[in-house]
Amino acid sequence: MSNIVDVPVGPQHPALKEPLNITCYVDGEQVVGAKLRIGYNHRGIEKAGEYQTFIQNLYIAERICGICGIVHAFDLAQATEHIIGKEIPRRADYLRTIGLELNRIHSHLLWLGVAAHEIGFDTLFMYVWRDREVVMDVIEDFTGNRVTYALVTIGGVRRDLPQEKAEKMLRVMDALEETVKKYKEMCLNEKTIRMRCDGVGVLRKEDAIALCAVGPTIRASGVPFDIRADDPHAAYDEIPFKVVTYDTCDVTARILVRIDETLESINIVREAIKKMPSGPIRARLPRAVPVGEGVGRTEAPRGEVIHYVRSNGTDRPFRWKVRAPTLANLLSIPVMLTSKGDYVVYIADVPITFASIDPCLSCTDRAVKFVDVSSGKSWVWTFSQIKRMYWKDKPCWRERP
Amino acid sequence: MTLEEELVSKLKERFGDRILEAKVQRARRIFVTVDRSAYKDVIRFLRNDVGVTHVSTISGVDAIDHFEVIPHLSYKGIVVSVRAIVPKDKPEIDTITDVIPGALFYEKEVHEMFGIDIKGHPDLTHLELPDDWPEGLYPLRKDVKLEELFRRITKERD
Amino acid sequence: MEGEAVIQELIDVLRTLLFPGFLFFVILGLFFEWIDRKFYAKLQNRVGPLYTGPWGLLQPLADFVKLMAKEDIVPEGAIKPIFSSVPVFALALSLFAALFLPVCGPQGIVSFPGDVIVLAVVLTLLVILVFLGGLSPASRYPEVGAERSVLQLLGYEIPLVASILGATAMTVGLGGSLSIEGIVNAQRDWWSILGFQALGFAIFLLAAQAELERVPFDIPEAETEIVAGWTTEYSGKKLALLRLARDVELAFLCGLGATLFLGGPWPGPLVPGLGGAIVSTIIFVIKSIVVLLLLTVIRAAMSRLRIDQMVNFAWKYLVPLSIFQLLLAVVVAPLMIHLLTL
Repeated sequence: MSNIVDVPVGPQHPALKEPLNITCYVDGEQVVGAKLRIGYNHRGIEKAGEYQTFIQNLYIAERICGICGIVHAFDLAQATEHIIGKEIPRRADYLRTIGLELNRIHSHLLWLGVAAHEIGFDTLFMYVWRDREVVMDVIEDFTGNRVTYALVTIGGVRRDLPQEKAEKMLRVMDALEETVKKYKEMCLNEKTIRMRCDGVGVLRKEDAIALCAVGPTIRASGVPFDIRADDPHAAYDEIPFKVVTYDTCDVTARILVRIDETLESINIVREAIKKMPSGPIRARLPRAVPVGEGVGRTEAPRGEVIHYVRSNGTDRPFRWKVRAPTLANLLSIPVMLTSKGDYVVYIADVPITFASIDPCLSCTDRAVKFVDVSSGKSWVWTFSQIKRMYWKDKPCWRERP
Repeated sequence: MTLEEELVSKLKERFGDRILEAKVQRARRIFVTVDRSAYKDVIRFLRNDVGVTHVSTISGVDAIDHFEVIPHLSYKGIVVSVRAIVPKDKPEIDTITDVIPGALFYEKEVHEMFGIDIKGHPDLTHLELPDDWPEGLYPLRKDVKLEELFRRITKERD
Repeated sequence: MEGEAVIQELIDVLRTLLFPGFLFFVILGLFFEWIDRKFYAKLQNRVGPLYTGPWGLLQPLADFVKLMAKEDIVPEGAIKPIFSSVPVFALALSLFAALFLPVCGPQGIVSFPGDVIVLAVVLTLLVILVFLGGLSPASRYPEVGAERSVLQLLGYEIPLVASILGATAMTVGLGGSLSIEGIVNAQRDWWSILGFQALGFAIFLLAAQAELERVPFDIPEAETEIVAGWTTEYSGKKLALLRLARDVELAFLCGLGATLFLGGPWPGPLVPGLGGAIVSTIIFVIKSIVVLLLLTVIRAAMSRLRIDQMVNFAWKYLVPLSIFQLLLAVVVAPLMIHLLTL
């Protein structure tokens, strides 16, 4: 084994949409080992969060990750509500559920496109992304935004879903279900997709459990670990759904888990609209959060998200800890990328294997410090300055008392 | 008795005084405070006897007069947060990666953010901070202000 | 007498430089790239090139000009003479090969008995250039790409040559020679693809796709795996030339497919005089476009294979099939023709 070359994948590489470095140890075309280095995407959000109020933090949280547009804000709001200890209106729970599931649908479709691109199937990529636009439009219709929804607030949600919009949403869901089923057929039957994905990126059940994998990654290894079912939050306790698992442990299983979950999500949206009670959408909670701590968990499209919040009685968190699902799944990557006995990993498998956990490094690298320090320092200051200037010119936009 | 209360009583029965505090905050949320010496035993007990396999994350907290290391374990939907108190004059704690391998990255993170030495951890290099990060600067500590971070990074990097 | 010879010489030079020689094939190559991109986009429900020229027709040219103006970087550890000459040779070889194609008559600019063999050699030489271009910059991704291109060559070379020989065999069976002209004329009434060559045509399409490094055989330059494969280190003028060479090669291979299997310019040469040349050219280009569209459909309908899968596929299916069709062409077809003419 003297002929081992290290091939760096990243931090800049066409297969990676975000910076990360995987050093693959390669013997010919075979990968015999892999090492990860993350941290190219630090923005210091956890530290910044300690200097902002809880409400401001909701909007920072939304910008932890662009794809999980609602998840982090929802989770922070949930943890904060746990500290305050008040229940929120039931209708808000349902609206949050709809937001979370729409988010999951768009994220899974986005991922399917990216995965197709990673194995060189650009046609599928283009088609999936075209159909994903429909969901984005629905999300925009519902929340007012395409990417960062600004839907969740502490104590409820900020926008209601009127009847006609709900009906439109249901119509879109019907059309979408057909499309997604078509894609499932395609992924199951298209020869070249199966050739590239079957038996690739294998993560055995024991490994997945030991390495604490989450989300579709662990469910594709046959473990029914889904926060929505285990730890029902929002309105998941009243909506029946199936936890999708596959047990072939490879990339195909991860594709199928995600497609089936998309179908489940469509059903959840329908069910939530049907069961949604009327009533207020927001409870007025105090701005200053009482002393205490809270743990918020939810199932993001990529897996379990956990926020730990501690308050010391002011309107700013004393400590705010975020753990995004990709950090939990990253440990599995070196295992998937190491040839072992009959299991052979080729260089060609690296992109799709890595993509199969649906990595999101913006989420992962959220913590602690401004990497670009010069802009980092002035950031807090500039923000308030802009705010002041903006509101001076446009008094009607001033925050209501 | 609910599952949460059962778990708390099991812990109290097994460890007695070594558990400083154990409470059920709400459905599926348990907070347990333990002494640093009992920390690893509690984790091992939860792993081997109760059957907890999943650690969601490990939060570090700088509580001004001491550090806290809080692994959030997941067991049948219940989040068991085991709080270990770490004194500031001797910031070190045992690793739990030999019990739950999935804690590898989270311990690294606690190490680089708070400067808490994780005894027995296989690889305490930087996880998220750059390789040329100033020695001994632990950004999430409360006594490290934004201005100081800015000053030290610009000065020591250039 | 003297004057006539000079004029003849001049016409030959102009034929080589302008039509149907270098300039024609450069323009055809850029045009084919546009068709390829536009049709690929249509298949994917996109619009494709749109803004440069009418319907984006000038986009490939604009890309070429843009690359020509870009900074040209040579890596420090590169073997400079090889690294720099590969793009030039690639373009030269592609254009040279194109001279054999019978564009405006049954005969190319260059034509001699046995020129089919020369074409097969040129196709292999192009891959050797890829190998040199990948190894010379002493960089990791190009190296992997170079290794892959040679591995891939092992897979598709035999089928490619066999399919070309299969098309040739018929003329030999009819008493012709191993030349493009012979093949074209043998298809005067009856295109090869309609006879025993349908299988050969399918094999030729797949092998051409591999030669051109397009999906599903774009393994040597797989974007998401090894950046740009063997072309990773090329930039500026060199990259522009490489891309132009690729375009000309695309036009050449489409033209070759049309020549070998679709009857080349026939029935154009039936029209007498200058009109014959014009009609022949139009027919030839249309037939080439048909081949191109087929190649584009293949590109749009599949995902990239892995190198081991590609070689496996080639040796398990393509090689036996190509030998089978060669037997068909060499043994069965002449026999049947013989029986029919008895």
